[in-house]
Amino acid sequence: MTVEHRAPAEHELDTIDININVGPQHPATHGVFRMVLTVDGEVVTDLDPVIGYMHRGNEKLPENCDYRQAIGYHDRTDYLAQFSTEHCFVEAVETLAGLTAPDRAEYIRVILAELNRIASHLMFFGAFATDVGVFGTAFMYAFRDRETIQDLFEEVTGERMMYNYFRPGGVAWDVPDDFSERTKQVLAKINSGLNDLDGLLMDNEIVLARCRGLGSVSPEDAINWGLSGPMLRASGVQHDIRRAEPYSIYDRFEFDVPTGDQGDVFDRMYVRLEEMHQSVRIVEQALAQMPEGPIMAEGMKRILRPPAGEIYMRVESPRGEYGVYIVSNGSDKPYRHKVRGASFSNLSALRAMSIGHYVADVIIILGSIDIVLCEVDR
Amino acid sequence: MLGILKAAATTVRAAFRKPVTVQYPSEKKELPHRSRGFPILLWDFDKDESFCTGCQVCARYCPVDCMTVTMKDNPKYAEGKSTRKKIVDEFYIDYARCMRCDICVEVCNFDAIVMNNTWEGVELSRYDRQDLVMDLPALERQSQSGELKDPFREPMGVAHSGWTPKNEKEEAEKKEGGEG
Amino acid sequence: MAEADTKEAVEEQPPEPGPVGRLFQAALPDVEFGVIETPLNETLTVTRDDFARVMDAAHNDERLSFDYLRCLSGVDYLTELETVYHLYSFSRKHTIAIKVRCPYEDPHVPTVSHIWHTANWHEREAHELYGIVYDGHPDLRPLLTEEGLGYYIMRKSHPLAEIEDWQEDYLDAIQKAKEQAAAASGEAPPVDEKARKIELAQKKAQIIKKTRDKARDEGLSAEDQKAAVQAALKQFEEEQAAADAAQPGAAPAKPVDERAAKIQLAQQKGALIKKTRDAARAKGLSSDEEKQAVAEALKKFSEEREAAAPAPAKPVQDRAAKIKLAQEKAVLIKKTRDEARAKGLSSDEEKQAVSEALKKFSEEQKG
Repeated sequence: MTVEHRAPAEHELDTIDININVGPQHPATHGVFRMVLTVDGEVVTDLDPVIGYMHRGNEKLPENCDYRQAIGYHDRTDYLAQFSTEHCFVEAVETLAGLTAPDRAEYIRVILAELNRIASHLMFFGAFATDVGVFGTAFMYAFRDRETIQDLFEEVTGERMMYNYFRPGGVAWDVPDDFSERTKQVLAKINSGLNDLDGLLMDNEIVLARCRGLGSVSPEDAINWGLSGPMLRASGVQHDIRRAEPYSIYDRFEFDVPTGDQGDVFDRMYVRLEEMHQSVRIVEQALAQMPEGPIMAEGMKRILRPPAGEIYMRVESPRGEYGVYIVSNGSDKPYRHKVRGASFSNLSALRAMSIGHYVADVIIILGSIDIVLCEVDR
Repeated sequence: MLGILKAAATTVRAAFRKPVTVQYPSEKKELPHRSRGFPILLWDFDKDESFCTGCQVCARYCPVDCMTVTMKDNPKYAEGKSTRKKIVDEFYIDYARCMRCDICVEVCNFDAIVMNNTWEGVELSRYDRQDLVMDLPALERQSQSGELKDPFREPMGVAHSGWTPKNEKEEAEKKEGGEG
Repeated sequence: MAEADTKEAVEEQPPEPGPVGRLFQAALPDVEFGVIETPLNETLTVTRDDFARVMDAAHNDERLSFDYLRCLSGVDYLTELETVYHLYSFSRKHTIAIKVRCPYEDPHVPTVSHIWHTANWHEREAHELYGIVYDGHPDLRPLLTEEGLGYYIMRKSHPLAEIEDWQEDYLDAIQKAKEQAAAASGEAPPVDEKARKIELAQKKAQIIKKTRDKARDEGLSAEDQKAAVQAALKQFEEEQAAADAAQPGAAPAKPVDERAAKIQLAQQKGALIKKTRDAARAKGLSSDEEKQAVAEALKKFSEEREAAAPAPAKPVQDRAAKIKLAQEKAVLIKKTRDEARAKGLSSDEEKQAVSEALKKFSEEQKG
């Protein structure tokens, strides 16, 4: 008996692409984010991000609140950088209403926002290292240091997550008497914690092998896709809103704007680590300069009614450009209240970044965006 | 290879540090003085009644509409035991809806409401959502029984601008007049 | 005095374009730009016809070179819908906001997603929230809300629901469920004193607010306002008392939830239709025959229901008695089986013995 060998016909060799659904309940998607991957073997050929699971009407609700009540909703848009979001909103309302917050309030805001940036980046390192495969260890280190920052925030504001502390015209109440010493203690702990992360991740061959050359974005593409924050700087564009269009009192501090050169996942990680060092620098300078004095503008009314007009205010949040567009019609409620989430634009570039990579690498690319789904969906 | 060793050295060093966690239910961290639990009402021990007059200002400023307040004529005022003409009749706070924003404390003219800064203000679990609607006795209990020792009542927000609520001014004047 | 005069004079004139606005005018001399004064950046308004050219020039003109779209927002001005584009230039370091309006009836604006990729998602979002159609956009599927929503949630015509609306629905549902459970177990429904009190207090608060607002609108003095509120409250209390007197004691237990029964009926019908249709298809009947079969089945179903409805409900056995009966049966089965096995019967014979024993048992029970 002989076995007949024949060449397989063409149609027998055809392969079809398979759709893989990741999320919305998936640990690697950092929240309720769903993506439909089309894979050819293990290579992603198409990606369709599906968002909106977290849509709560965070733009509509403040249109039915007065300006003070709306602050609480900003905490809940970017729940990892609450002070940045509050900062953006109160700066917008102050500019619109022609208020000037006293110096001390501005310094308190900057110190808290920068500490919040460190906390947010630490959260990124914890989650991202878990994506890469450094299970647990980096997560625990990052959260240990983040906890010290959260304790400080709790001593100042009373809350751990949803601070609701900044107000148009200043801050809600003064910081405790030992704020300066406590912040210095926290900074010392952060510095040692950053050394830990540096030693654990940045020279680690496993991390390098997985992150180098992955998801590269050229500077032109990064700008065209509307990327901002560490994503943009990793591509080599030296742009930081704190430096390019200084808001609040950021023109009073010395700090560097770190950039990457390849725009890959590793560069994004590197930029974030460097940014934390720069934030520590800013906080140290701010503590040294912080004056005594009032923390609320004079002559504040109980209900704020900014004159009719509109403003687009933007701040550098840990994830990039966080913007608020407010249209006021002279009443105590904003007529239009639009939030430009940094993650929203960053996430829209995910498809372009991921095509041609392995499925396992797409998870890392997604992690490197550092999305906060509440900010994407609002 | 060197990078891996460096990473290993970092983890080994961390193994000799003191743990930073506590065994929660049996051991509790001390809450900071400003800790913001859910709002509760304060008790006026001098007059033996609530500070709250039921003026509804907190209910109006609440961003999430979690409060229902009514007022009534104060019977003690008629007897001459109290200076409050009106007093709270019913007060409901839906803790399931409250977002602990502290605005009610900020706007209160009588310093009658505070955020609970004891562990009881944050450890709330119930079998039924309905049980999270607190009524007047439940809101007053902690302050009345003396469990709430040192609430955080720093003058805040609007008060810092030097603007004093009218009622407070009147009360202060009344007090001075009464004592003098 | 002179200062005030000049100020007024300035206000009367339309605002002049700033440095970036003048660049736009230089790049597009034939386009008419409106200028709005806003803090932090200049704002230009353009008409819909010029819009595509303006955006093209904003990106490609050397003097402008806006390479970054920061934000795209839709705004609802009740008769018109507006899209606001906030642009930034990395090479020139300047910013601008450009606004374009379209009427409600014809909400079409040319897309810019081919110029700035980031506009892709932003336009999708503005489309689903405001209903603005961006002509030429490659993919205008909704982004945040579900497909086929049918209304635009961010428009002012779509009001934010009062929290009370859904909260009351929820409370009603809870109350109904409790009442049903109580009715099923044969107990009188507990009167929820707390819920009633809350409801009453809410009603009172509403009346106070309403009366006060009304009095203020009428321009009454503070004393009169108070009197009006008092009168309204008194009236409300009297009405309440009258209502309580008319309805002594607790409200009568409500019958079985009609809505739930209806839903159940509809579900049963739906299952029947599906089954009949599947059967008809399997037989290969034509579509007309299929329809007839379904109609017949439905008719039969309703006849059966009508026949069943007037029949007296079966006596419900006590749960404890049922359990006891089952236990006795189980003991009997075990006993019979063991006996059969001891006799060395085959499994078929064993089964028969058990069923005979059960039959006998049930006859004894009836007797």
